[in-house]
Amino acid sequence: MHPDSHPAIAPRGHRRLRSDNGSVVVEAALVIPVLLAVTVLLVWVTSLGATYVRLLDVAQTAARQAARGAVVETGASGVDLAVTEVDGLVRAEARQRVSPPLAGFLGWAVTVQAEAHAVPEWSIAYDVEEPGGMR
Amino acid sequence: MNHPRWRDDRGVGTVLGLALGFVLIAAGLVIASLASVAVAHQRAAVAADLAAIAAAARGCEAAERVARAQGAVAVTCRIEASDAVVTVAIPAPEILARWASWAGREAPVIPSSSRAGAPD
Repeated sequence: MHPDSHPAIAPRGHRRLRSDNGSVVVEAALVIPVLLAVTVLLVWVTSLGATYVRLLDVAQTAARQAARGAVVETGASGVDLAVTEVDGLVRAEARQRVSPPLAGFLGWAVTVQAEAHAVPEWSIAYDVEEPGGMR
Repeated sequence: MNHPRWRDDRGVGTVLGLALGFVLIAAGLVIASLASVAVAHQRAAVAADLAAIAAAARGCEAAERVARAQGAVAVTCRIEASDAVVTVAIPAPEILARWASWAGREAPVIPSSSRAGAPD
């Protein structure tokens, strides 16, 4: 749009600054990084939820293994697993650090933690060698 | 489109960006709500499973302790023949509780049920 055809805004200042040409590009250049950051944040939050569900599964399996007196296998890579006994319950904690997608180089990470509890069973009556009975 | 103030392109990028931003934020709220409900469901299912196994091994008192340790707020437990049937409820995630209070409702709980028994 040529500035001379513009009665509402009086053409003032430098000739190059009077034109609208490129204003959309400049505005988009400012807005797009913000939108990209919001999108990355969204994907990050979603992956935190997915990681939590996975860690919950790892912790549940570990707690059950420990409660039955079996050797606890870490299984998943990158997962920090700790099994303790608290108030007569076996407690398994699974922890993992999750970095934002595309922005891992920033060094930001959130530690996701899930825990599972189970009653120790290694002294109960039924046969521990036959683990098929639990549903 | 003949109004002189509507003829130039100034501000179109900003308006477009704001609109896109609102769409993204709305989508983010919906995704976060759905994800948190899925997570709470999983938490309830795990609590019910662990509590049912505890009930089958050591009775309902053990089931109650395990369920509370998993964050359950309500626990029912009964022994049916050789099986233990446990129902637990996990409090709704924060974001869902906020939606509920915004809609003037009580925060819901996420229930789950599980059954376990000794080997035949």
